Amino acid sequence: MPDVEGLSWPEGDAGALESAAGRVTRLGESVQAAGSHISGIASDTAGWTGLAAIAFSGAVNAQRAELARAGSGLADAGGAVRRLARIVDDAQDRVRQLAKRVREAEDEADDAAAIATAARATADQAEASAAAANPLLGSAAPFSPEAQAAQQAIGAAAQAESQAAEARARADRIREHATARADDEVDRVKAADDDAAGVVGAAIGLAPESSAPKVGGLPGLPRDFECPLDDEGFNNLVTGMYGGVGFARFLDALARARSRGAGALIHSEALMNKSADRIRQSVNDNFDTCVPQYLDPPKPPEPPDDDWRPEWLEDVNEAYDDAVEEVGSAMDDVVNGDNPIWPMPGPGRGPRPSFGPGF
Amino acid sequence: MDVIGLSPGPVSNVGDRLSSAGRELAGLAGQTDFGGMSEPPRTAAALDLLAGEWSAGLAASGGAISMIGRITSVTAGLFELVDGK
Repeated sequence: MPDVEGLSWPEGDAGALESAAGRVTRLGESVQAAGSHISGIASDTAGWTGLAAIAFSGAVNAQRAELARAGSGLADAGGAVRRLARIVDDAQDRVRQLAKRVREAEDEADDAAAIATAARATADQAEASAAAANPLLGSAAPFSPEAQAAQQAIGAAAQAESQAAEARARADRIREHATARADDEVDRVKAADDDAAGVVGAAIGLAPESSAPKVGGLPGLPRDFECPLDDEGFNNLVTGMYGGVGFARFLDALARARSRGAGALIHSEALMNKSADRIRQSVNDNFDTCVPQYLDPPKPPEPPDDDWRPEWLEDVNEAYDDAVEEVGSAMDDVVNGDNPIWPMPGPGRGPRPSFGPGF
Repeated sequence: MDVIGLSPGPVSNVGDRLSSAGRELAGLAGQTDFGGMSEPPRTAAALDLLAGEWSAGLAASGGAISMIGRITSVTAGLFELVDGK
């Protein structure tokens, strides 16, 4: 805080606030651009029809809408912080100007007081000189040159003292006024701080939900999935149906096995197809149930039960778990050499395929 | 009941691009360095909170979008396995 002659100071670093406002605004623009980008990508799904496609569009649109709202909230917050930065800067500038006036007025008063003190000393000295020059007559010799000089000095001292008193009174008035104005500036910054904090607070409320769906490994991913069937309905709908990331890893394992030349995974792949068919059947069987739930989500029991999940998800879980067990077991047989269809038994068959966690 | 039509290639491509976009969005979490001030007090505190919430929120939102993309790709892969034979 600079020296402001004891006036109240509106706290804040206008430069830091302006910089923060810029960063908040730029993040808002990036978030909105990300929402548009995501929406653009999702529009390329021509040929994908059916209820899962509808659910997909719904999920992407929900994300896009959330990002648009959130980005707009950040833009508002950036604007509010920028306004606050300008108010802080302006208020601090005004208080500096007020302090300058106070300093100038008090310097003038101090100067006038010094002049008055000097004039009084001169007058006292002149009086003493007059008395010394006419020791017998004293004040009875008012017209002596020394007495006249003393009278002039006394008059000058009185005038200087009067001017000093006026300067001090003016300085006091200026300080009183400046103190009130500086207090007003501090209040103005406080009010702007409240306003900006309110807008920033709204942007906090618009931050994307941090309750992202939790995903686990194989098997049993859907059981680790805690998101209730509401505005995150897609995550329940599709993640539950297809086993989510766990199932993705399952498919990845198959792809990796293929890429390692494990062509003899035909048996496993046939089982995989069969299992996928079962899962697909389960998905189709449950579309009629789960889509209305997605469109008109049921409320979980109150108080919220962490174990609550739609019944159809249990069916999918069961098909999924069966598939994982069946295919995983067959793959283990293959990679352990227990399955006679493994094509390259013996030392030359290459590295053991890695199927990742769960296998 | 067969209610699904899906072209695995394009849909898988959409899924991959969504995954990538989700990762980029999550990367924005590193741009929430607008906290750390002490004055003016309410806005400074709100900016701190904003940074924390948005850092977590962007990571989560990016993760969710990435997951939608991944699931979309997996969906395409699943249908390729089932229908492509």
